[in-house]
Amino acid sequence: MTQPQILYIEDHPASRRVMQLLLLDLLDYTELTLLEDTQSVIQRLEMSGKAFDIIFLDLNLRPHDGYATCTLLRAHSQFGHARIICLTAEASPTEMRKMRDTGFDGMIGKPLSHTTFPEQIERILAGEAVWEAL
Amino acid sequence: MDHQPASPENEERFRLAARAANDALYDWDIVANTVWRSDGYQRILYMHEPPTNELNWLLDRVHPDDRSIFDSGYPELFASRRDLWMVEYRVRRQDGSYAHVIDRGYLMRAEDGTPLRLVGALIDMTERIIAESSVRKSEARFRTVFARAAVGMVLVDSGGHTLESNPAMQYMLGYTDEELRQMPFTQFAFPDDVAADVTLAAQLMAGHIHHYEMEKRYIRKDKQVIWGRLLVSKIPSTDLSEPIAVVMVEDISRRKEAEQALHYRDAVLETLTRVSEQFLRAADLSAVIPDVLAQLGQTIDVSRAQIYQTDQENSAPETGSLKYEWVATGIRPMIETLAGQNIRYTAVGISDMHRAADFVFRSDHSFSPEAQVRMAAVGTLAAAVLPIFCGDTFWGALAFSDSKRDREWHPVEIEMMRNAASAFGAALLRQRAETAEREQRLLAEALREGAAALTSTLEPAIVMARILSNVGRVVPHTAANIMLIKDDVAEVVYSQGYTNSKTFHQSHRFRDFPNLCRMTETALPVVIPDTKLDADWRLLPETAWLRSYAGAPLRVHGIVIGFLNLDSTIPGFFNALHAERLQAFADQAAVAIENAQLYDTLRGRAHELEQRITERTHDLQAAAEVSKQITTALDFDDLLPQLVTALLEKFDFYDVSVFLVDDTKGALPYRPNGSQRVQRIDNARLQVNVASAVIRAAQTRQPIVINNVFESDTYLPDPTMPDTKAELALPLIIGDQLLGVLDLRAKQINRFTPDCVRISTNLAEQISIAIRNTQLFAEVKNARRESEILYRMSSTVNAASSYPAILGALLSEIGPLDYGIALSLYDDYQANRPNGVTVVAVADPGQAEARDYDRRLVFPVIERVAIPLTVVEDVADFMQIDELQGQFYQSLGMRAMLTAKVMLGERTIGSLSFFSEQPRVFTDFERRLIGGLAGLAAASVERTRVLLEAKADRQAAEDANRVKSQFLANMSHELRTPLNAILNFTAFVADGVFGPVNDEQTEALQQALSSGKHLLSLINDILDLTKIEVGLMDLFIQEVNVNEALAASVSVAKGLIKDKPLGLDTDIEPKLPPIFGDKRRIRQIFLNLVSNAVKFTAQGTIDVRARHEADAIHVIVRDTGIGIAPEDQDLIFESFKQVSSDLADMVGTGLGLPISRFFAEAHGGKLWLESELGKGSAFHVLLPIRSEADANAANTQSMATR
Repeated sequence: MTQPQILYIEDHPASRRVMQLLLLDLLDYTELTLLEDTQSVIQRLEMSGKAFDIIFLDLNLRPHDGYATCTLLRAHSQFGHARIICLTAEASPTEMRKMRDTGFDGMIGKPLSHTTFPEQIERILAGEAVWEAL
Repeated sequence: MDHQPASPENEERFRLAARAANDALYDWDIVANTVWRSDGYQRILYMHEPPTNELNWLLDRVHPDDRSIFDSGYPELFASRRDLWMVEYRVRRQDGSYAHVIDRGYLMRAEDGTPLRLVGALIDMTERIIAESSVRKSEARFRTVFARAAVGMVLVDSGGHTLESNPAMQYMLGYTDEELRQMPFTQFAFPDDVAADVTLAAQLMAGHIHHYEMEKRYIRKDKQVIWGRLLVSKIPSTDLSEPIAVVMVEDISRRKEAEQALHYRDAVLETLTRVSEQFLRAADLSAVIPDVLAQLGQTIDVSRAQIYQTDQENSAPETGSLKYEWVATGIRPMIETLAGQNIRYTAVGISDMHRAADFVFRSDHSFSPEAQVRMAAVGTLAAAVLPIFCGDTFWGALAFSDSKRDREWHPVEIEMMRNAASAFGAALLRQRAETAEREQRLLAEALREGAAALTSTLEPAIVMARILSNVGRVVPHTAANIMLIKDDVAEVVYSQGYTNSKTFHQSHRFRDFPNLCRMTETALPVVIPDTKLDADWRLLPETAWLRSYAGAPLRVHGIVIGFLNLDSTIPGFFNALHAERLQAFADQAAVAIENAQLYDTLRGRAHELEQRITERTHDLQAAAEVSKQITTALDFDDLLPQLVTALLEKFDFYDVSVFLVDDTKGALPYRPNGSQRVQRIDNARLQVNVASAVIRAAQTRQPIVINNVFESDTYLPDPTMPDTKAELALPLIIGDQLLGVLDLRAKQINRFTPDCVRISTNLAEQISIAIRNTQLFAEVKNARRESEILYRMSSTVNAASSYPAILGALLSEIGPLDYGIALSLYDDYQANRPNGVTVVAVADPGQAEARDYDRRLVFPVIERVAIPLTVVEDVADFMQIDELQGQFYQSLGMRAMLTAKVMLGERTIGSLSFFSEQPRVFTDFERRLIGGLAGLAAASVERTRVLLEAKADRQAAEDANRVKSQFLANMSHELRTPLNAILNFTAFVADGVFGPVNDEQTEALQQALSSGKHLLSLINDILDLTKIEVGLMDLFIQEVNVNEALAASVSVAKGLIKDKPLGLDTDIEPKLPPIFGDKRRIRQIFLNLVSNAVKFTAQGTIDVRARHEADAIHVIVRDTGIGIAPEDQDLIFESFKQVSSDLADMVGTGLGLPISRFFAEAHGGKLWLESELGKGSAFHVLLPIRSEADANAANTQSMATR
């Protein structure tokens, strides 16, 4: 089985590092792309030539926030088919409904749990709608 | 020892191990001074190239501040006998950042101690150090929240002792942190609220609930009581120490006060509205008074409510009687002990009230010493007395007293009392007006019928008989007679009801009878209520039975021609009102007698020309017809047109005009009703010297006859009536009052013969009587209309909740006007500005909508003077008094103003004005109306102000809440994000991801991890409390697989059982239908029930069952634990009933049952308990199977209602 391509856009350096450690060191994933902002995000991703299986988005992104970025990606022929998952510390039902309405496939609340995250990512890859927060 | 590795294989193995370990290893040959470094350095320092073996390769990368470690460290190590090398320093990475490393090495020495080589490893501690500093930062942030929060926060231990309080809390209670720590919380808690708090706190500490909220009172250090809203949350202990609780307290005193005040005001005003309605609708006022007094008394919680009525209505009443009384339970009615009669007003605080032009409120601070002594004697601690005015007459007083407490009367109470007194007065007035109207109608009808009877014949004998047979309908009596004056003798010409009429019919020298003399001299009626008490009464033996007398002079052209006398056998029978009516009738009778006598005379001169007689009798009969017609009119508006038409029809006049004196005071607004022939004479024209016949008639009050306009020097031609040949102007006079002028014009010269003038003068007198009658009738009608308008308004106005709405309500009842209304309020009433006035609402003429007027105006300054009513008829006149002010009005386009003070108790809060763009005269009706409106407006203005203030308070509280919530939400977000790093990095390090960790380190890392989780749960709580506060707790609806949710909870529960002797049986129906709900919350419910069962069951079995039943899923969690006593079963759910709660679904945080029930119910389901003490419990959850749309709709609805 080929390695899933994973993209994580997150402005908080420590959170990017956590993802890196979780996916590359703790788990056996190898294909992780990290971005810290959404400046020209589509062009940059197109240039990478990658097609992503999972896109994790933070909400507090600049210049486009998570919702705007989700909308941009969802509309894109190359990235629109990815599972777009929100990674956020603002997991209220109101926000969750907004995410669902925007086109997110799921949400995982911050902080991530290193015990549940592996199976969450598997369930996402299996197509399940994961809306969970610690 | 050789400085080379023992063998190449060894070295190779070492290198391989080093690579496998992925650590930065080094081997420094001190003797040869060469270094080998493993590739692990690449990883720590993010390098693409492997490290070199250069000695200074690492040192060059060490942070300059840390290099001294090596400079002094190595020599020290070498010189010592130690062989362990452990230092921490920073090394620069490829990207410029620094890695924190622990350099741990082992020094090998030769036997003589000479250092040979140092073998060691660099452990990257960067993540851990960042994690530790993040924990410190997070804690610092929490401290910041604690110290700077706008809400009071306090940490308490399980015994309720304060561990720490924040500045907001100290400020709120007025104690220092030190003081708070040293006293039990019961010392600053309001005694009544302690029990509820203690119960909830006990449940919290026992873990039955996770947090709770309540509103309770605190006693500040200065003994003031304040209201606080508490959110108490338990912080689960991470070690063996006792759990502590965080209490957040928001000062809601203002809100509570505003709420309570508002509720009270609403209740009081509601009572007032109800009472006013009762007064309005009551057919019999005395029937509703007992109920009204009870309502008033109960609403403001007094001991007594009483109504005193003045014994004699005069200008300075001194005594009154207690007519009605309501007493509270346990209070002895005063009315029984007093017998209610002739109470001195000075003794009950009512004295002097009649002098007040406006209502006077008297509280216990302004009572006379005599009244205070008396009140003290009956145990009254506080009292309020309000005068009742019926119209302008002081009728009595409404009194309230309180024997339970001394109290300051609240403005809204004063308002209610004042309005009740005024409503009562108005009701009295209305009742009187109704009675008066009824009587006036009867009188008018009697007069009309009498007049009809009298004018239908010209035969003297018949006229006399009809006078006596009709006078009884106007004034009842025992006997009546008519006397006519001949010289100095009064002859009884007709009588009725006297037994010995023969002897009675004789001539009297009326000088012997003072009553007749008086009538002759004054031309006014005389009443002798009791003849026995009147010293002047001339007692005739044959009329000794006569005990009460009323007489009226028969007046013709102001000359007394005789008397109409009434006698009664009942002492005190006749009164002033009878006299007034008798006179009205006598005036008609006099004209009839005069006409009959004239007719008689004419008939007696039969030898004169037949033709002339016919002419005059024609005039006389026509006059009789006209007077008959006009006496049937009761309505002023109909009277004059009817009169003009009748005169034109019956006589062959060229023109008939009626001029009315425009004396506004007391005059009615007169609408011409289409007739051009009715005009007004204004007072100024009466002063003109060169004048028409009309003006001269008005000036001289004598008929002005011009029989040939061509020969007259004084005739003033009227171009509209060029054919005028003769003119007769007749003054219309009643008593001393000039009503107007009747102007007759003819096309024939000499039309107005002396006989004709005489007949016409008689007619003018009858017209005057008719005008006065209709005026009287209209006045009572107006009085009634006025009281009705005020009544209708009071209910509409009371419902108004803004200043413009008050005017709008007033307008809607009055109807369109030809003037505007303005409501102005003094600034010191509205806000804390000492001077000035703000016009808060203006309604334009004819406009039913009032609008806000925020402009500050100077004009009501004149209202500051102590006159209740200010009238400016024309600003042009007013300018002579105050030019500046006058110009100001003119600039506003105001020419005339009628302004009444709006009073609240004894305080003037503003004014209500009628204003007009034209100079204008305000009628009495309008003057009374504005007074009434101002009284009505006062209550509504006060109510509106309170409403607006409360609204502002609520808005402020909501704004504060929103800001606080936003702050806390941001804070929580800010705290959660670093926790992602803290928890995960710590876990990675603890799991050995970054290399081996020893036991000591593992324990420290586990501590850090558990502290981090603790912090997370604390943050979750803060976030949740925020949601609860703003009522934003809702559900995220998605499809939920109940089997999975149950399996997850059971799996967690199994982990919790650990070593307990507990079995866990499941009987879960496979493939339960999915339901739509919040997956996280449903899991939370199950997990809570199962983990509670594990927690509270020492041994035995836990049984989890799930079934699909009809349209719901039924889950039962049964245990064999200690069970819950019946009296506690409600309690474990109850404490949370009004709190929408959200708690982290983390295992082991002791989620409360109330929360689970909240979520079960939020899903449209139920959660209940069956338990027996000592035998275990069964918790049932029933979750309905609903469509996604239904679940979403229900959630939206419940959000909206919260």
